[in-house]
Amino acid sequence: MESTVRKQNGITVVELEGELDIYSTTALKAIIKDQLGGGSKRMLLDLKDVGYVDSAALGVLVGGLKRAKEVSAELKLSNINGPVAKIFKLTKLSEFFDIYNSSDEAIESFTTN
Amino acid sequence: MSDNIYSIKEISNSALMISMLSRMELIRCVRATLTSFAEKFGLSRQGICDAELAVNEALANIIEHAYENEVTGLIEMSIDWDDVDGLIVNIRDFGKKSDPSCFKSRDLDDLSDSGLGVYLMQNLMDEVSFNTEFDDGTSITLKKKSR
Repeated sequence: MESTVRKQNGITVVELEGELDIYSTTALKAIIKDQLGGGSKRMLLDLKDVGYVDSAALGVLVGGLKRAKEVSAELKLSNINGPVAKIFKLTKLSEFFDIYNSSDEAIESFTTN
Repeated sequence: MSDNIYSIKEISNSALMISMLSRMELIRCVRATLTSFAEKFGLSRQGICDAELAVNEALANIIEHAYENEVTGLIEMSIDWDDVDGLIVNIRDFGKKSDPSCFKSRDLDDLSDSGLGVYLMQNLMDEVSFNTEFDDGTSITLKKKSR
């Protein structure tokens, strides 16, 4: 997994790339923890270039969502496609996360709230 | 096996055996082997993705629970293609015996950060069975039909 973190309109946008599997959970957990711990109140994880996600990585995303709520931050997801979208639907996680079709759409949703 | 952490043996044109140690990083090797094997027999892209993730979950569970993240545990797998049943993967570990109650899926309405592995296996594959009738360890068989 590779990641790029940028700021746009005061929102922390984390672009993820590659495979989100048990082997990459430590890095994923650290990114979310560091950003929320560093005071990010609006965070977007963009999964445009993620083609694989397993239950360990889903667990990290759920943990991140819970942590965000605890610190009164918002965590949203965008660009969940193909096999990854199927897994989100199958596990019903699509009902718990705010998911947008594109990062632009997600960023706009933060600013209009 | 003693010096190898991962080995593949071709049993026939439609059967492979994998022996591996209980190391998380080797799951990616298994996924790659499984994908090229299933592609050879024309399993659909979606079918391959499903099988890849189900096997990923089975192996991760074994490493985490049966071997409690100890990296020297032995895992033996067979990957077969059958014209009727399609892809058949059997995974055998020799670690801590699993409690059959752990093979149940959890309630998805509860937002939990763990416990999705068995649910994914059961919902991605056409058939999943667990055998705990061994002195040690467990055997899991996963089947994905070709459609």
